[in-house]
Amino acid sequence: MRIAYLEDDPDQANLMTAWMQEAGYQYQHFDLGGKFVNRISKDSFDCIILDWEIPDLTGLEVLSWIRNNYDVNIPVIFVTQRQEEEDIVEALEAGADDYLVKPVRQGEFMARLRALYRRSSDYALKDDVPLEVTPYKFNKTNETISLHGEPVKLTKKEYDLALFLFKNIGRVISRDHIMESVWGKYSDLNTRTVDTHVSRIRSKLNISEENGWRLTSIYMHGYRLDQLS
Amino acid sequence: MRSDLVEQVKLRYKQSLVEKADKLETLWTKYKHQPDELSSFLHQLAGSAGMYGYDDITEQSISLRKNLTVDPIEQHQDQFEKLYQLLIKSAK
Repeated sequence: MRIAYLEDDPDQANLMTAWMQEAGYQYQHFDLGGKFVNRISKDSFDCIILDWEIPDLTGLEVLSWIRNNYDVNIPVIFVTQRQEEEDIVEALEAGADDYLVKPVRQGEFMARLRALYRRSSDYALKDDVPLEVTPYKFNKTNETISLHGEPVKLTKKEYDLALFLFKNIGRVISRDHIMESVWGKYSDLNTRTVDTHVSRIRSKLNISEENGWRLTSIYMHGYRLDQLS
Repeated sequence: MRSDLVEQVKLRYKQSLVEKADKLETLWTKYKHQPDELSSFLHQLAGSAGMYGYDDITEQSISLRKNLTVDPIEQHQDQFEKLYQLLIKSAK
Protein backbone atom coordinates (compact mmCIF):
# COMPACT_ATOMS: atom_id res chain seq x y z
CA MET A 1 0.00 0.00 0.00
CA ARG A 2 1.30 3.45 -0.92
CA ILE A 3 0.19 6.24 1.39
CA ALA A 4 0.32 10.05 1.37
CA TYR A 5 0.11 11.73 4.76
CA LEU A 6 -0.55 15.42 5.50
CA GLU A 7 0.47 16.50 8.99
CA ASP A 8 2.28 19.65 10.07
CA ASP A 9 3.50 18.43 13.45
CA PRO A 10 6.90 16.69 13.11
CA ASP A 11 6.47 14.67 16.32
CA GLN A 12 3.26 13.08 15.09
CA ALA A 13 4.67 12.59 11.61
CA ASN A 14 7.82 10.90 12.96
CA LEU A 15 5.88 8.32 14.92
CA MET A 16 3.43 7.70 12.11
CA THR A 17 6.37 7.22 9.75
CA ALA A 18 7.83 4.59 12.08
CA TRP A 19 4.47 2.78 12.23
CA MET A 20 4.25 2.78 8.45
CA GLN A 21 7.78 1.50 8.05
CA GLU A 22 7.11 -1.22 10.60
CA ALA A 23 4.07 -2.29 8.58
CA GLY A 24 6.10 -2.29 5.36
CA TYR A 25 4.06 0.42 3.66
CA GLN A 26 5.40 2.90 1.16
CA TYR A 27 4.83 6.29 2.60
CA GLN A 28 5.26 10.00 1.89
CA HIS A 29 4.76 12.72 4.44
CA PHE A 30 3.92 16.37 3.69
CA ASP A 31 3.73 19.25 6.18
CA LEU A 32 1.92 21.78 4.00
CA GLY A 33 -1.30 21.47 2.02
CA GLY A 34 0.13 23.23 -1.03
CA LYS A 35 3.09 20.87 -1.25
CA PHE A 36 0.79 17.92 -0.73
CA VAL A 37 -1.59 18.91 -3.54
CA ASN A 38 1.27 19.74 -5.88
CA ARG A 39 2.93 16.37 -5.32
CA ILE A 40 -0.07 14.07 -5.43
CA SER A 41 -1.32 15.70 -8.61
CA LYS A 42 1.79 14.23 -10.27
CA ASP A 43 1.78 10.92 -8.47
CA SER A 44 -0.51 8.09 -7.37
CA PHE A 45 -1.32 6.62 -3.99
CA ASP A 46 -3.55 3.92 -2.52
CA CYS A 47 -4.65 5.83 0.54
CA ILE A 48 -4.53 9.37 1.95
CA ILE A 49 -4.34 10.48 5.57
CA LEU A 50 -5.27 14.10 6.33
CA ASP A 51 -4.93 16.32 9.35
CA TRP A 52 -7.54 19.08 9.55
CA GLU A 53 -5.52 22.03 10.82
CA ILE A 54 -2.59 22.75 8.52
CA PRO A 55 -0.88 26.17 8.24
CA ASP A 56 -1.65 26.95 4.59
CA LEU A 57 -4.84 25.02 3.79
CA THR A 58 -7.42 23.15 5.80
CA GLY A 59 -7.72 19.39 5.52
CA LEU A 60 -11.25 19.95 4.25
CA GLU A 61 -9.98 22.11 1.39
CA VAL A 62 -7.47 19.43 0.50
CA LEU A 63 -10.18 16.78 0.65
CA SER A 64 -12.38 18.85 -1.63
CA TRP A 65 -9.52 19.17 -4.11
CA ILE A 66 -8.91 15.41 -3.98
CA ARG A 67 -12.53 14.54 -4.70
CA ASN A 68 -12.93 17.15 -7.44
CA ASN A 69 -9.58 16.88 -9.19
CA TYR A 70 -7.68 13.78 -8.18
CA ASP A 71 -9.57 10.60 -7.40
CA VAL A 72 -13.18 10.10 -6.38
CA ASN A 73 -12.49 6.60 -5.06
CA ILE A 74 -9.21 6.83 -3.20
CA PRO A 75 -9.69 6.12 0.53
CA VAL A 76 -9.20 9.18 2.73
CA ILE A 77 -8.88 9.09 6.52
CA PHE A 78 -9.12 12.21 8.62
CA VAL A 79 -6.97 12.23 11.75
CA THR A 80 -7.71 15.33 13.79
CA GLN A 81 -8.31 16.71 17.25
CA ARG A 82 -11.70 18.01 16.22
CA GLN A 83 -14.24 15.81 17.91
CA GLU A 84 -17.46 17.77 17.61
CA GLU A 85 -20.21 15.87 15.85
CA GLU A 86 -20.64 18.67 13.30
CA ASP A 87 -16.95 18.42 12.31
CA ILE A 88 -17.15 14.66 11.87
CA VAL A 89 -20.32 14.98 9.80
CA GLU A 90 -18.79 17.74 7.67
CA ALA A 91 -15.69 15.70 6.89
CA LEU A 92 -17.61 12.53 6.09
CA GLU A 93 -20.07 14.39 3.91
CA ALA A 94 -17.21 16.11 2.10
CA GLY A 95 -15.94 12.68 1.10
CA ALA A 96 -13.79 11.32 3.93
CA ASP A 97 -14.08 7.55 4.34
CA ASP A 98 -13.10 7.38 7.99
CA TYR A 99 -12.48 9.81 10.84
CA LEU A 100 -10.24 9.35 13.85
CA VAL A 101 -9.89 11.74 16.75
CA LYS A 102 -6.37 12.35 18.02
CA PRO A 103 -4.51 11.00 19.81
CA VAL A 104 -4.58 7.90 17.63
CA ARG A 105 -3.31 4.49 18.77
CA GLN A 106 -1.11 2.37 16.58
CA GLY A 107 -3.18 -0.84 16.69
CA GLU A 108 -6.52 0.79 15.98
CA PHE A 109 -5.16 3.14 13.38
CA MET A 110 -3.37 0.44 11.39
CA ALA A 111 -6.43 -1.84 11.56
CA ARG A 112 -8.68 0.93 10.24
CA LEU A 113 -6.21 1.67 7.47
CA ARG A 114 -6.12 -1.96 6.38
CA ALA A 115 -9.91 -2.30 6.57
CA LEU A 116 -10.45 0.81 4.51
CA TYR A 117 -7.99 -0.30 1.88
CA ARG A 118 -9.63 -3.73 1.68
CA ARG A 119 -13.07 -2.23 1.20
CA SER A 120 -11.90 0.30 -1.33
CA SER A 121 -10.17 -2.14 -3.62
CA ASP A 122 -13.35 -3.49 -5.19
CA TYR A 123 -12.25 -2.10 -8.51
CA ALA A 124 -9.01 -3.99 -8.28
CA LEU A 125 -8.27 -7.68 -8.19
CA LYS A 126 -7.72 -8.83 -4.65
CA ASP A 127 -4.71 -10.77 -3.43
CA ASP A 128 -6.68 -13.79 -2.23
CA VAL A 129 -8.55 -14.65 -5.41
CA PRO A 130 -7.27 -16.29 -8.61
CA LEU A 131 -6.45 -13.68 -11.17
CA GLU A 132 -8.40 -14.46 -14.29
CA VAL A 133 -9.25 -11.57 -16.54
CA THR A 134 -10.12 -12.72 -20.02
CA PRO A 135 -8.06 -13.56 -22.00
CA TYR A 136 -5.34 -13.59 -19.30
CA LYS A 137 -4.89 -16.03 -16.46
CA PHE A 138 -2.33 -15.44 -13.69
CA ASN A 139 -0.76 -18.46 -12.05
CA LYS A 140 0.61 -17.24 -8.74
CA THR A 141 2.35 -20.50 -7.90
CA ASN A 142 4.83 -20.47 -10.73
CA GLU A 143 4.39 -16.78 -11.53
CA THR A 144 3.32 -17.19 -15.11
CA ILE A 145 0.57 -15.70 -17.22
CA SER A 146 -1.30 -17.42 -19.99
CA LEU A 147 -2.91 -15.66 -22.92
CA HIS A 148 -5.83 -17.52 -24.51
CA GLY A 149 -4.59 -20.59 -22.61
CA GLU A 150 -1.03 -20.36 -23.94
CA PRO A 151 1.72 -19.61 -21.41
CA VAL A 152 3.69 -16.41 -22.04
CA LYS A 153 7.36 -16.37 -21.16
CA LEU A 154 8.03 -13.50 -18.75
CA THR A 155 10.84 -12.51 -16.42
CA LYS A 156 10.10 -12.21 -12.72
CA LYS A 157 9.91 -8.41 -12.93
CA GLU A 158 7.68 -8.53 -16.00
CA TYR A 159 5.31 -10.84 -14.13
CA ASP A 160 5.32 -8.58 -11.06
CA LEU A 161 4.69 -5.52 -13.19
CA ALA A 162 1.81 -7.15 -15.08
CA LEU A 163 0.27 -8.33 -11.82
CA PHE A 164 0.56 -4.85 -10.34
CA LEU A 165 -1.11 -3.23 -13.34
CA PHE A 166 -3.94 -5.76 -13.39
CA LYS A 167 -4.51 -5.14 -9.69
CA ASN A 168 -5.00 -1.47 -10.47
CA ILE A 169 -7.32 -1.54 -13.43
CA GLY A 170 -8.71 1.87 -14.32
CA ARG A 171 -6.33 3.82 -12.08
CA VAL A 172 -3.66 6.23 -13.22
CA ILE A 173 -0.51 4.86 -11.59
CA SER A 174 2.60 7.01 -11.48
CA ARG A 175 6.00 5.72 -12.57
CA ASP A 176 7.28 6.26 -9.02
CA HIS A 177 4.42 4.21 -7.63
CA ILE A 178 5.13 1.40 -10.09
CA MET A 179 8.86 1.59 -9.37
CA GLU A 180 8.39 1.37 -5.59
CA SER A 181 5.84 -1.42 -5.80
CA VAL A 182 7.67 -3.63 -8.27
CA TRP A 183 11.36 -2.82 -7.73
CA GLY A 184 11.23 -1.56 -4.14
CA LYS A 185 11.49 1.85 -2.51
CA TYR A 186 15.25 2.00 -2.41
CA SER A 187 15.90 0.87 -5.94
CA ASP A 188 18.70 2.73 -7.73
CA LEU A 189 16.98 2.30 -11.08
CA ASN A 190 15.37 5.23 -12.81
CA THR A 191 11.81 5.35 -14.07
CA ARG A 192 12.85 4.65 -17.66
CA THR A 193 13.19 1.08 -16.47
CA VAL A 194 9.44 1.15 -15.90
CA ASP A 195 8.82 2.33 -19.46
CA THR A 196 11.04 -0.41 -20.88
CA HIS A 197 9.28 -3.13 -18.93
CA VAL A 198 5.82 -1.76 -19.70
CA SER A 199 6.71 -1.83 -23.36
CA ARG A 200 7.83 -5.46 -23.08
CA ILE A 201 4.72 -6.72 -21.30
CA ARG A 202 2.49 -4.76 -23.66
CA SER A 203 4.12 -6.63 -26.48
CA LYS A 204 4.46 -10.07 -24.87
CA LEU A 205 0.90 -10.10 -23.50
CA ASN A 206 -0.47 -8.35 -26.58
CA ILE A 207 -2.34 -5.87 -24.42
CA SER A 208 -4.49 -4.36 -27.14
CA GLU A 209 -8.04 -3.52 -28.11
CA GLU A 210 -8.13 -6.78 -30.00
CA ASN A 211 -7.84 -8.56 -26.64
CA GLY A 212 -10.19 -6.17 -24.86
CA TRP A 213 -7.58 -4.10 -23.04
CA ARG A 214 -5.89 -0.75 -23.40
CA LEU A 215 -2.68 0.27 -21.64
CA THR A 216 -2.32 4.03 -21.94
CA SER A 217 0.78 6.10 -21.24
CA ILE A 218 -0.22 9.24 -19.35
CA TYR A 219 2.11 12.11 -20.24
CA MET A 220 4.44 13.16 -17.38
CA HIS A 221 2.67 10.80 -15.01
CA GLY A 222 2.49 7.06 -15.61
CA TYR A 223 0.13 4.46 -16.99
CA ARG A 224 -3.49 3.37 -16.87
CA LEU A 225 -4.77 -0.09 -17.77
CA ASP A 226 -8.39 -0.21 -18.90
CA GLN A 227 -10.66 -3.09 -19.75
CA LEU A 228 -12.72 -2.27 -22.81
CA SER A 229 -16.35 -3.30 -22.59
CA MET B 1 14.63 -4.11 13.84
CA ARG B 2 11.58 -2.23 12.66
CA SER B 3 10.10 -2.16 16.17
CA ASP B 4 13.41 -0.67 17.28
CA LEU B 5 12.64 2.25 15.02
CA VAL B 6 9.35 2.92 16.83
CA GLU B 7 11.16 2.69 20.17
CA GLN B 8 13.87 5.07 18.98
CA VAL B 9 11.28 7.61 17.87
CA LYS B 10 9.51 7.29 21.22
CA LEU B 11 12.78 7.80 23.09
CA ARG B 12 13.57 10.91 21.06
CA TYR B 13 10.14 12.30 21.89
CA LYS B 14 10.64 11.62 25.58
CA GLN B 15 13.98 13.39 25.44
CA SER B 16 12.32 16.38 23.78
CA LEU B 17 9.85 16.93 26.61
CA VAL B 18 12.21 19.15 28.63
CA GLU B 19 12.68 21.30 25.55
CA LYS B 20 8.91 21.39 25.13
CA ALA B 21 8.53 22.53 28.74
CA ASP B 22 10.98 25.37 28.03
CA LYS B 23 9.06 26.31 24.92
CA LEU B 24 5.79 26.27 26.83
CA GLU B 25 7.27 28.64 29.39
CA THR B 26 8.57 30.99 26.70
CA LEU B 27 5.27 31.07 24.84
CA TRP B 28 3.40 31.58 28.09
CA THR B 29 5.35 34.76 28.80
CA LYS B 30 4.73 36.01 25.26
CA TYR B 31 1.07 35.06 25.20
CA LYS B 32 -0.37 38.57 25.39
CA HIS B 33 1.53 39.60 22.27
CA GLN B 34 1.50 36.27 20.42
CA PRO B 35 -1.52 34.27 21.56
CA ASP B 36 -1.69 32.16 18.42
CA GLU B 37 1.75 30.66 18.97
CA LEU B 38 0.85 29.22 22.35
CA SER B 39 -2.47 27.97 21.02
CA SER B 40 -0.74 26.26 18.11
CA PHE B 41 1.89 24.75 20.39
CA LEU B 42 -0.75 23.37 22.78
CA HIS B 43 -2.67 21.99 19.80
CA GLN B 44 0.35 20.07 18.53
CA LEU B 45 1.34 18.94 22.00
CA ALA B 46 -2.15 17.59 22.60
CA GLY B 47 -2.02 15.67 19.34
CA SER B 48 1.43 14.20 19.77
CA ALA B 49 1.63 13.42 23.50
CA GLY B 50 -1.24 10.95 23.47
CA MET B 51 0.20 9.15 20.45
CA TYR B 52 3.36 8.60 22.47
CA GLY B 53 1.42 7.41 25.49
CA TYR B 54 1.35 10.60 27.56
CA ASP B 55 -2.41 10.93 27.93
CA ASP B 56 -2.20 13.28 30.91
CA ILE B 57 -0.20 15.81 28.84
CA THR B 58 -2.79 15.61 26.08
CA GLU B 59 -5.64 16.20 28.52
CA GLN B 60 -3.95 19.17 30.16
CA SER B 61 -2.99 20.71 26.83
CA ILE B 62 -6.52 20.46 25.44
CA SER B 63 -8.00 21.86 28.62
CA LEU B 64 -5.53 24.76 28.89
CA ARG B 65 -5.95 25.70 25.23
CA LYS B 66 -9.70 25.73 25.61
CA ASN B 67 -9.60 27.73 28.85
CA LEU B 68 -7.38 30.37 27.31
CA THR B 69 -10.05 31.12 24.75
CA VAL B 70 -12.54 32.12 27.46
CA ASP B 71 -10.57 33.55 30.41
CA PRO B 72 -7.59 35.87 30.91
CA ILE B 73 -4.26 34.04 31.08
CA GLU B 74 -3.74 34.97 34.75
CA GLN B 75 -6.60 32.72 35.74
CA HIS B 76 -4.80 29.67 34.40
CA GLN B 77 -1.35 30.09 35.89
CA ASP B 78 -1.85 26.97 38.03
CA GLN B 79 -2.81 24.90 35.03
CA PHE B 80 0.20 26.14 33.11
CA GLU B 81 2.46 25.12 36.01
CA LYS B 82 0.82 21.73 36.22
CA LEU B 83 1.42 21.12 32.53
CA TYR B 84 5.00 22.38 32.82
CA GLN B 85 5.69 19.97 35.69
CA LEU B 86 4.05 17.11 33.81
CA LEU B 87 6.41 17.66 30.89
CA ILE B 88 9.47 17.72 33.15
CA LYS B 89 8.33 14.67 35.08
CA SER B 90 7.52 12.69 31.92
CA ALA B 91 10.98 13.36 30.53
CA LYS B 92 12.59 11.42 33.39
